[in-house]
Amino acid sequence: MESWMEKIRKSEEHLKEQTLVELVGRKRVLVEHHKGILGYSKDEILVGTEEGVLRVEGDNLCLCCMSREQLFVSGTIRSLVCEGRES
Amino acid sequence: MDLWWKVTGYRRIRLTGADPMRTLRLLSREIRLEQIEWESGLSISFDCARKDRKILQRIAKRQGDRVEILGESGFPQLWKTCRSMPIIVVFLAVLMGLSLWIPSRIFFVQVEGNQTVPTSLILESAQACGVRFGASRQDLRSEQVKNSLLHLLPELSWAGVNTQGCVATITVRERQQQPRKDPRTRGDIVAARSGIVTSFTSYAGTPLCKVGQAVHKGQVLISGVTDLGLKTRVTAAEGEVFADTVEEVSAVLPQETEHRGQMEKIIRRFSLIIGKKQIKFYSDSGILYPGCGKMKEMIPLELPGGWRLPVTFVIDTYTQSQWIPTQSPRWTAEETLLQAIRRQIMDHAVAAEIRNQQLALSQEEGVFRMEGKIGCREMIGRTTEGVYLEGDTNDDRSSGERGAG
Repeated sequence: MESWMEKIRKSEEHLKEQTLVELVGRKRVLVEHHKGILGYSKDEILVGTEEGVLRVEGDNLCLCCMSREQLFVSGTIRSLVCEGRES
Repeated sequence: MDLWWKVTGYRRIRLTGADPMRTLRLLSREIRLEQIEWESGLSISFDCARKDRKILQRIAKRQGDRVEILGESGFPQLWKTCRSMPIIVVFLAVLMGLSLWIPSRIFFVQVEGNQTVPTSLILESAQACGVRFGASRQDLRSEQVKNSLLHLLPELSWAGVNTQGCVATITVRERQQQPRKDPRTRGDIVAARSGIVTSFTSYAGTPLCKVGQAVHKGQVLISGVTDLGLKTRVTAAEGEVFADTVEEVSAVLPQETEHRGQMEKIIRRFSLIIGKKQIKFYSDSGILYPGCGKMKEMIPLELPGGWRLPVTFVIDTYTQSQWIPTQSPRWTAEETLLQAIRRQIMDHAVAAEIRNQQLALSQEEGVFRMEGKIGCREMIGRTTEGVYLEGDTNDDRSSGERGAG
């Protein structure tokens, strides 16, 4: 029988692998654990994630920084939409 | 963009291909990309580090994309630009050399604390002592300059040199001039001790004793008032009176004293002073044991060129020693007591010479006691300030003669 400590540890590990989206005001969006860029324009950026597609809509959007773990979008954010399968 | 990118250098890249989005996805798995811009459906541009050039070339080649370098930035690019213009390199080298050389030199000298001695005279003397334009701060020794300045300018009683940056500040204290005695002030010369006068010299006033005469303590030797018959002259008496005196003395010294013996323990404590804040690397402070010794060593941190950082490393060394009780031998006690008595007499006299002594050493209740008489030849005359009496004088102040009234 699994101890409750083991259950907490497993749930924490599961959370670590999930996509983390951080919105700073309406100016910046930080996406961690992404799967790459699927579409890119000044008004819309599509980010692939484990849970589906994250649609970032806004004006003068710019992909400031992109690495294996993180993705950083700046501009005026109008909406953040999660599309695709539900986890 | 972090500082490391600016130091190592980065490039602006344009990637053109059939599916730049896929290439971007592949690139982001291995390298970091910044300022990504979508130029058209077939091309994107971004910044990447110089060191990621090979990875970029490999992935672009595999995807069949074309890589175009739009520009370079950062320190390597700046260095390349500077190399193409040697004058800039020379200028930067000179600038760097000057920034190291200038703080180690003195370019300005200022004087403070002088009131009567002219600043120009002090500066001139300081120049002769080595405090001059362009002098090295390292070679400047405050104690040496002080001694030289005091030798050159006897009007000064103290001098010190502090340097801050390129400015040397000479702080001086002038010798206090003895105020001249006002001849209109009445003053007598009285005997400080009882004795027999051996030498008598009067410069001003009326002598009231002579050589060979016995005088007692407090007796007026030279009076400031001279009776001229119809008039009385009031003045400040001046003169020197030497006499043979006898003084009864007594001094005691404990028989048992304690001396510091072998060192038993040494404890070192370290701390750091940053600005005005002290960071202690120990928990307990204060004196550890009664009678233990404490020595503080302060090591200021300096950069090459004389730049002193506001950081000082402090080492506190505590030493615990054994205290050994020692019995003082009789001959040592006698010598010590004799010296103490002589010192006491000389300290209390203006000018004195010990002529004879009759001292006896006794031992009682754990102490050595020395008692007896000391015969001296000393200056016993002391000036007493009198009060100027308006009623005793006439109006002729310039001559110093006053009417009897």
